Amino acid sequence: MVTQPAPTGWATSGPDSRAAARFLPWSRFDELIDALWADGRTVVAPVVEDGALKIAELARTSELPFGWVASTAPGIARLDRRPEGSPAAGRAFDNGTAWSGIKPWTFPAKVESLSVESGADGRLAVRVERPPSQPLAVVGARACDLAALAIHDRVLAGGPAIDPDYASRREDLLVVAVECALATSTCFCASMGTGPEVTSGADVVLSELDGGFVARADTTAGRHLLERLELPSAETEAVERATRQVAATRASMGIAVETEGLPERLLANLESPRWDEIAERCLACANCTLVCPTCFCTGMTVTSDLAGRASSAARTWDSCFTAGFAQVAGGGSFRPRHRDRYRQWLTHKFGTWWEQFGSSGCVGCGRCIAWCPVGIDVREELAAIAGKPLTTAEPSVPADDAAFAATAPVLVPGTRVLAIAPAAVEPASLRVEYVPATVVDVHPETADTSTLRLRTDDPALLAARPGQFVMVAAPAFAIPPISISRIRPDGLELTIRAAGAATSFLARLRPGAELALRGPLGRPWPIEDAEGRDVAIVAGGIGLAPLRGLLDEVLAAPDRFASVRLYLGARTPRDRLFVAEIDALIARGLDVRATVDRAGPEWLGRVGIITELFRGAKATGANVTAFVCGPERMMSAVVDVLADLDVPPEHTWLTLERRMECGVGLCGHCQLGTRFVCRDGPVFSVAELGDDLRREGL
Amino acid sequence: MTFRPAPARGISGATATALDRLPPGVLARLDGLSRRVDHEAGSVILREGGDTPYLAAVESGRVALRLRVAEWGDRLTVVTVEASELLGWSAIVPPFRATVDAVATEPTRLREIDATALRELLGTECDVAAALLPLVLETVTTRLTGSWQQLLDTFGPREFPAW
Amino acid sequence: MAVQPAAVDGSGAPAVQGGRAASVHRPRVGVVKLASCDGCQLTLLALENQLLDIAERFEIVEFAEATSRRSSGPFDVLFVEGSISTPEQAVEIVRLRAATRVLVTIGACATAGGIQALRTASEHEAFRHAVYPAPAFVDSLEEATPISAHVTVDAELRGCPIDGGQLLELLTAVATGRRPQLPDQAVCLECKRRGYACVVVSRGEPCLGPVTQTGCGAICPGMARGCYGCFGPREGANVDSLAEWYIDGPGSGGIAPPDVGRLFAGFTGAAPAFRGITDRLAGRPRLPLAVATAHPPELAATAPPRWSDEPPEGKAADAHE
Repeated sequence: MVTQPAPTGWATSGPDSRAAARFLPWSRFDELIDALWADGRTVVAPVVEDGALKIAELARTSELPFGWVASTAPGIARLDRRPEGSPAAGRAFDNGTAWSGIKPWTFPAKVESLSVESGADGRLAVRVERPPSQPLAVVGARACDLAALAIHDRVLAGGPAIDPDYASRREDLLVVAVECALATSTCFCASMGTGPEVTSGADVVLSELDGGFVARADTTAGRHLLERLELPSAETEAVERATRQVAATRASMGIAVETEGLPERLLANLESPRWDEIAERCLACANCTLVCPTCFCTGMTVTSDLAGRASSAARTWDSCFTAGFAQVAGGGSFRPRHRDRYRQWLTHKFGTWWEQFGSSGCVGCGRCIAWCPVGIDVREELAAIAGKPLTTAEPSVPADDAAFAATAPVLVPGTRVLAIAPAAVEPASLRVEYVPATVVDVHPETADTSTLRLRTDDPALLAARPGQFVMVAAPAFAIPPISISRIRPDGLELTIRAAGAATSFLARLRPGAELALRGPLGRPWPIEDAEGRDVAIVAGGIGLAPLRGLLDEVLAAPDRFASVRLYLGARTPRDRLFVAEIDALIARGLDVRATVDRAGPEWLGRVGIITELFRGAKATGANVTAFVCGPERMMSAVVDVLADLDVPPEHTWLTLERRMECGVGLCGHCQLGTRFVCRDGPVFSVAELGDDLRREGL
Repeated sequence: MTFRPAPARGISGATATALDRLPPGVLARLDGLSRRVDHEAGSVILREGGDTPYLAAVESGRVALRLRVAEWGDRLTVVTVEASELLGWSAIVPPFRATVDAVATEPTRLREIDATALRELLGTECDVAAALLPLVLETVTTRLTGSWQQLLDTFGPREFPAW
Repeated sequence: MAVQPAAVDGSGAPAVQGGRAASVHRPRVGVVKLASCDGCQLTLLALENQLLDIAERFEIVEFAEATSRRSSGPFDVLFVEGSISTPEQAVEIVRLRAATRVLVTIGACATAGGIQALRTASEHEAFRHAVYPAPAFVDSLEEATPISAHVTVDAELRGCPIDGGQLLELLTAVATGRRPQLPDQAVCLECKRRGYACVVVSRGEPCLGPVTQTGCGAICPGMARGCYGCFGPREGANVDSLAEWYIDGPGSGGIAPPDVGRLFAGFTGAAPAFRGITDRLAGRPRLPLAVATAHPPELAATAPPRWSDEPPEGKAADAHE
């Protein structure tokens, strides 16, 4: 339930809240679980499974981990029995965090998301799966889990695109949190400002004492739940014990992460030798990302029937540590080395996450430390890379110590309190539904490239802007993003190079075939930026396709611009795209400069790399707006030449290629620095990209 | 509808020859060694492996530098040389043999500086050498780095697995 | 050989109309074995729910485990089980390749050499004599090698045995002309997706999951034991770091270096990434040469060949220091 009255703590709450604190004795704990079941909820809670604490479905209260206690260290997590007769032996939640957290319940590892089926009549049926209502109650969520949930709310349900499965599960979630009475050696929530006190995100907050719980409701749903149980008020002494207990937990957290200026310090050290050193130890096994409660990257796995008529796509946990994660059609990977992958993960988690989502991506749960099979400790790596020493707080005697009496929780100085910024864009403004489009013409451009003319009456697609792209679904294939190469009154044109199985299939389609499109997606070329200026359109190879719509629009009203020039590069004369169209434009007086990388004797035009087209030019580009598209290596060479000619970086626009799997900024694959290429781009100015342009390239 | 030409706007190409960037004094001394020659389209200006008789500045037209590669019909153009560029750097670089065939692909006017006389001049006149050699090096560097880019075959289809 | 990403119908690119591939004829499929146990082939027969569908879509022309019908090709798709272990097999695989459009190797033997490739790390003659009383009649190669060491392979299905789901995925991909999804990630991803706690971390159990290619469904960690690497090394397998952790790590360490080396000497132990660490930490295994010259009756009474207790010439010790 996402209702949120002012968050309260045990000690910081006013007299009213204090009065509202109830006491739930163990003898009546079953009533709480029964009430949740009575509401039709599945109840999940920590249980012992395979020698570790895991959040799993609870069948009876006795399954709770009574008397167990976890101990952790980098690469080690052990569960032991507390000695018989020790005061905490009767407790069920005084034992550390569950390794898998609650993420598997709110954001499961695999969720069917889409099915595509081709009927006997050749018509295509595309269904976006909507999860059924599945009311869930989590009992025993920790402060770190709830901070992670708040981050997922922002990432997956904060817009501009919303993950329908997550939103649905979240809607039906009730959280009974338990404040931690124990911090293991890998816990550092106090550093990250997320715990151990539960300050928000829970419907009911419990503090486990010997014999029962101090309970308070933080939401309406939580209040209704506690009212049904008709619990007695908690004694002041019990509330104070609860307060001291969590304060002791805070005090016992040893190693802190210096969060002050961390994003900046981290991003200033992108070339630290430490990355190579970590890469020698890192297995790139992805465990850290899979146990991380905030990691949200997913892949699309497609399964199909033998006939190739029906396929279904599932959203599946993926990880930036895999080679395939940053791979694009054709097999190139933007992050081939372990070093690249670890750097991506750490700088995103602790650095660029802030700009993307308004908070750190780390909640300090320490799971990535304990559950790294070779014990890599992010606290240590951050200190080594970002350049500040570890600060070690004095370890303190935990729990029930009179020294902590009446100590109100105080945030560690220099800590940034987790604050989730509201979404910058209108939620749900990116569409997730697919609409049909029919192939009406297939025009071969080169040996491996064809232009499909598609008819559709979908108003959104017809309102597409040059530079945008669509996701193209066909049965049995992965769903590739394809840039729009022309916008027509009755549909779209897509120019497709057969670079992989899906694009090969698309390039072989015949008129009459039906496809399903989602879009238009992405940021278009900012044509208005060129108003009154000199337009230079620079295209290499297939890069002309996304620029074709721009060219259409520019040439439809040439008087809006001071001048228009087109610079074209291709591999060989036979690889040139839209040859007849370009020739017609030349005949009408358009200034077109073309070159090919190599040619046979029949070619009398220019030969040489595309930057040669600017050779000998004078530095007169101050009034130029350039639109550039091509392979990244070519774009970076062109950007250099344009800069030499005084074309301002804020008027030099590129469209980047990355692996765009979801197209709406939810899957994480196309992340580049602080951006998702699919959602924030693919069009960027050189000024916006800064150093990111050359950081990871093919 | 036609588009109005705007030659003076935006990034405009310079029409001067490469040699125009030399100091007037140096240019004057080269004048005595050079002559303007018009080559028809299709005429062979240099032959791969043959002597390079002159260093030339292209004043107009286009010259294709070609390698003899069987699968390209023995005539693979690797780069073209245009107005404002130099042709025939091998005239002053031992062993003074052309590394490619140079063929005019359109009517081309060259300003040709006799190789023997130029080498002699460069050996004696330091100021001429100091002014001219950077231009020649620039030409060679451009061809070199251009070749690197072409080697990457950035526009080419990336290899993908059998599937 | 480059195979175009087109439906395998024997005629090159299929006609695609109305978004569907119209098969011209059923692809001819063969299943053959070289040096192997037949277990991987049986995975095909174990796809019981899909068998009729498969038989409808494909013409199975050679499959000794399933049909007495025989064919020497041509094959649109040929599944090859087993490693190259004899001179005849080395010749046969070249012939098979020439008769095949898409050649798929199946199982640890075909993709990594298999258990029989462990002999590569030993003296071949001693091995022959140890195993066979009369080795004169056995014509085996000194090394057992994966198919890819001999001919171009279009796809690999890893595992001992292969995974039925991956086999079906490959058949589906062949039938529809797309690339099969055979991830090169670590076993860990599937292990965590299935909600298994890491056995290395929670029990100190040595597990090869982090360096092994996924595809099995993390069967062993699911049974609370370590992965033994039967799918072979994954992309970018950092075996050195993992081995170091099992020798020196605070949680799982304390295993003697030769034993750590032997962890990798399993069904895919001849794969270069695994073989390298075994050689470095465990050294070459030695066979008692006395066995090699023994007369058969004495042979029966002799202890079986075993790994040496000590790495030779202090090799592992050097590597370890």
